[in-house]
Formats: sequence, structure tokens, C-alpha cells
Amino acid sequence: MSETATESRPTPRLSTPQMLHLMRLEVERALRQRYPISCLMFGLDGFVDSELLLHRKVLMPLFFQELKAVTFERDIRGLGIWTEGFELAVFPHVAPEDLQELAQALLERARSVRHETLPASVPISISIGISHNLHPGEVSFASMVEEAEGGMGLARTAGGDRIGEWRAVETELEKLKVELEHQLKEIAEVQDKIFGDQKEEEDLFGRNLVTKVLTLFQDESDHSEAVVRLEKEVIALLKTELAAWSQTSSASKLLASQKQIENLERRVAKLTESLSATESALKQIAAAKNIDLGVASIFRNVQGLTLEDALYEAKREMLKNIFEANVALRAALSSKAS
Amino acid sequence: MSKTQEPTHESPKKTEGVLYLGVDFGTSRSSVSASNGVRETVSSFVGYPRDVVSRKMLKKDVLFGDDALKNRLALSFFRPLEVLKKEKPDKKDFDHNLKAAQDLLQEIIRLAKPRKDELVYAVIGVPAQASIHSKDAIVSTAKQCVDSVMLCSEPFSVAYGLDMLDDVLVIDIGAGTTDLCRMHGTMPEDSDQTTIYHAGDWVDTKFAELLSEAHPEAQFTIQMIKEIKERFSSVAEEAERAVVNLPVNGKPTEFDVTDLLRESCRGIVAPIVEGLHKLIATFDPEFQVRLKNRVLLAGGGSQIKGLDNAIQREMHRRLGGGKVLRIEEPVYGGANGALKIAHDMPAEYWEKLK
Repeated sequence: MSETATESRPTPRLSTPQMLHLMRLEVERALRQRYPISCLMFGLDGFVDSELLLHRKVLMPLFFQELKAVTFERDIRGLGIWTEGFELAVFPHVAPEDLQELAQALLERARSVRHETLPASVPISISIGISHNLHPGEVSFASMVEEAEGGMGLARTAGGDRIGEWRAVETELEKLKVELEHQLKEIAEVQDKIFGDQKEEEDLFGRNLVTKVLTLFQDESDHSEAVVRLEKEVIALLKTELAAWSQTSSASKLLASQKQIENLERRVAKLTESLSATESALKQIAAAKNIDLGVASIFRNVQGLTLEDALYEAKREMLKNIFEANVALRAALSSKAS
Repeated sequence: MSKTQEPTHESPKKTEGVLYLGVDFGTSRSSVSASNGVRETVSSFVGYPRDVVSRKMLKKDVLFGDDALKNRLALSFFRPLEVLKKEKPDKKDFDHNLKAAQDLLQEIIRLAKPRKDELVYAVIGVPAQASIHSKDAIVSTAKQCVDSVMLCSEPFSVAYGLDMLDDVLVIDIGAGTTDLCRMHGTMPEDSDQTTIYHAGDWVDTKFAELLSEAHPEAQFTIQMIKEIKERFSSVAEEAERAVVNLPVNGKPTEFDVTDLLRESCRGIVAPIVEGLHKLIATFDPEFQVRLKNRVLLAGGGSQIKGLDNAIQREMHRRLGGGKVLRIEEPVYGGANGALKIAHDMPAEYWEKLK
């Protein structure tokens, strides 16, 4: 039996961006060649307090090892990365139902993951989201990851060892915005309906009445001054009465719809309040990132060239030239813009 | 009767002081010197996460400098000043790079840590051949972050920073270009400046070509070439041996690239001296000798070991003499000069350009 000598060489390790690049290429290839590809994202629930945050660094690689183990057991091959916040993997030629089975196995194994530094009393749970390309919608690497992340978020919120199907990718804020838009549309529709129907009905009734009265006068053979005056008076009276009737009728119908409108408006106000609270919280977080007040300059006032400078004359002329060149540049730019 | 006070959302009044910024906006590296003592430099690279995953992983919407370089596979990667200098760039390419340049400039100004209650006046040194579009973008971006801004040419700011305004030749070796500027006591005109394309990037390309010829089995990228150059570049005969590890079929292998690197670096000497020759020959004959003896070597490329002596030797050979002085701080030379210009600029000029 002959032996083949092989050179012992360490497997080259890829950095996370490199691996991410390969994952993106893998998804693009699957979409181009139209074979199934699934994406799995999972993350550790909780562990956001300062005391537990450090344990993420220890636990996430352990979970990644578990993910590798369950894929090898099933002879599934994929590409994956892990960060402190989440783990992400793509599996070419893997149908979503197979990945769901893999996810359940991963969930089982994750329960037994422990580390010596973590107190036994701290519970460990993970949430998993899965997405795939076997649906009619538009798919890209980004959309698959977003859907898997949405699923992971939903799993985290729902909790309790459940499997759920989730289609739309909607954040809390987006949901509120959609609901608010819907409610505003509903109010506009109700108002349109009330005023539109009412006006149409009133117009028709008024037109019929006026036609009948005018016909009556046209049929009258007597065209004396008294009859003409009477015709004018009748038409004027008819006009006034119709306007008064229309107002009374609209008011009664409006009153009936008022309650419905008020209810809808209260709902809109509540949603608006909730939306602005969310947006202001987001702004606060964004502002908190830039709390550095800066470093004070050593100068309290504008300085400028001093007469004591040995090259005062030459410098003064040069500074003037720089200024004029900048003025000319601005002028050229503004004339170009106009 | 009391008036109801309404909350205001205006920025704080700028009455606490004046912060001057000198910015060197370069192809390879951008630096800022500020009158609050802050000095920062960043590689002129900008990257935007390519997709939602990259953004989540990197936890940033935009990355700059070495951070961007390190993660470039996950980013849409830009080296904006390179494109902005082009005479006829592709429109789409130009727009993307313009946005990147604007973000980079904002980052540079942010690095200077300006206070919100201080007036901020900036002088920005830009490449001599930057297009009017680029200058427009730079001015409009800077105006968002500072109270008043002026642009000036890079080699000029170097000379101004050193108070060498009369009969001086400045060689500013950047990544994309080498700018030569003749100073004679007044603002340099177009005829006082010349630009050649034998600069840092040219050395990289030349070195890569020579390395491929000499060691076709070696695998490398232009970024690896740049790193080797920045560490070992020299034109001196007796320099430290440049022994580097490059992969050959995946296996790290040692190569001695000293001679190849020296040859590449020496490639820029003759074109620079040729440029100097033109500027000297067209100068007032009475002052040509003085001009030859006051040559300033600045910019990132001036860090090539022995380059000052090599240029001086070539000047002796072709022009019969000359003296080259390397500036003390190649990285901050331009920014320091721009800061000095900002400091010396009269208040009314700043006011008029607000």
C-alpha cells in the first residue's frame, strides 16, 4: 500500500468581510441559476445588561460551533459569520423545510450550551429567523437577510418555543405609519361619502323641483305682468327654501356621522402621539452619539496678520490675492448655477 | 404684561472664540491642523456598507481611512480625490466620488473637534488641478460645517507655513501627482506651477510591474505594494534590506525586494528634476542660482529615504547645482501652512466670504 505524502498546511482563514462577500456571491449565483437557497439568522435573547454583555463574546462562538455541528450531521454545507449581535448563514440547495428542521435541532443544542464564566442561574435562549428564495417576490441577498432578521425579531417577541410564519417585513415604526395612513384615508373616504352623496342627492332634488315649477309657468298662456312677477317671486322663494333645506339636511347627516369621525380622530391622535414619541426617542439616541463638546481654540478673537511680522507686506498682498481668487471662484460658481 | 417665551431651536451663539482649521485634502491622505491643538490625519478612503448585513456588522453608515480599507470587501469603496482630479471623469463615477469627498471632508472637520459655540474659519489646500465642480463641492460641503472657508493650492500653503515666500521652489509629492511651484514673493500664477504624474501611485505601479517580472510566482495586490513601499521605500544605496513575505500558491514566501523598490522610487527623480529645470530656466536669470538653492521637498512622497539627496545629485548633474531641503513634517506640512494662512487672514475677508 502506497502512502501519499501531503504537505501540512493550515487552512486559510477568511475575515468576516471576506466571508460576507462570498455569501453575497453565493446568493447571487443561486438567484441567477434559480436553485433554492435559504438564509438563517439567529441571536442570543437578552444579554444586554452591562453585567451580561461580556458573556456574548464567549457564547456566540459556542453557538457557531453548534451550528456547524448540526449542519455537518445533516450533510448540509453553507457559509456563515458570527458577530456579537447575531449569527448569519446561507445554505445553497437547501429548502426552507429542511432548514426549519435544522433550526429546531440547533435550538435543542443551544439549550445545553454553557460556559464556566456564566452563572448557572442565567437562562440561555436563542431566537431564529429563516428566509428563502422560493416565493414569487423579488429576492436579493439584502432582502433575504432582512426577512430572516424580521423573523428573528418576531420569534424574540413571541417567545415560547413556537414556530411562526411571517411574510411582511415591517418594523414597529413602519407599522404605525401604515396604520396612521390607513386611518387618515378612511376619514377622507367617510367625509367624501357624506358630502358627495348628500350634495348629489340635493342637487338632483333641487333640479327636478325647479324644472317642474318652470314647466308650470311655461304652460301658462297668460303672460301678464302679474304672472311674470309671480314667477320671479316663486323662483326666488324656491331658491331660498332649497338652500335652507339643504343646510338642515346636511347638518342632520353630519351630526349622525360626527361620532364616527370623532372616534377615528381620537385613534389618529393616539397613533400620531405614539409615532412622535418613537421618533423623538430615535432622535435622542442619535444625538447621544455626538455628545463630545469639542476642544476650545486658543484664540478668543479673530487674529489676522500683525505689523510685527517680518514679511508683512508680502504676506498681506498674498492673502489679498487668495481672498480675491476665492471671491472670483464663488462668482464663477454662482453664475454657473444661475 | 409678560411675553410668553417660546422654545428656540437655534444653534448656540458663536461668541466663545475663533477656531482656525488648516486642511490638506490629499489623494492619499488628508490632514487637519487646528488652533485648538488638534492634529489629525486620515487616509483618503471612504466606504459605504454594501448592504444591510454589512451595515449591521460594521455598525456604521460610512467608514473612513484605514477602517474603510480594512473592511473594503463589505463596502462600496471610494478613493474620491483620485476621481475628482480627473479632467474628464465618468458622470456617475464622479457623482459617487463627489459624495464620498463631501463625507470625507465633514469627517476631517469633525476630527478637529470644533466647539459649537466658536466661530470656525477654515483654509483648505486642494490639488492644483481640481476641477471647478470639485471646488464647488468642497466649498459647499465645508460651508455646512464651518462659518467661512477659503481654498488655496497645496504647494503654496506648504511654503507659506515655512515663511519661505521668496525665491523658493516647492516639490509636493502626493499620491496622484507631484506639484512643483515657484514662489517669488507674490501669489504664484499658472506659469509658476507645473504638475507631473510621477508620484506615489506611479511608484506603486512601477514596483508592481518589476515585481511581477522578477517573481511571477508571487501573489500580491496593489494595497500590499503600497504597504511595502511605505515601510521600506528608499533611493539610497545603503538602505535596510526590504525582505517581505508574499504568498506563492497560498504559502507565505520570503522575497528580497530592495533593488526593485529602489529602482521604482528612483523613477520619479528624473521627471521631477526636469520639471524643476523648466521652472528655473524660465525665471529671472539674476535669481536662478538662489532659486536652485532653495528647493523644498514636501508631501507624503518626500518620506522616501534619500530622495532629497537623489534629487540634489540629479540637479547637480543637469543644472550644475542645487540644494534640496526636506520639510520636517511631510504629513502635516500642507495643513500647518493652511492653518497659518487662516490665522493671518484679516477678519473682513472672512466676513465677506461667509
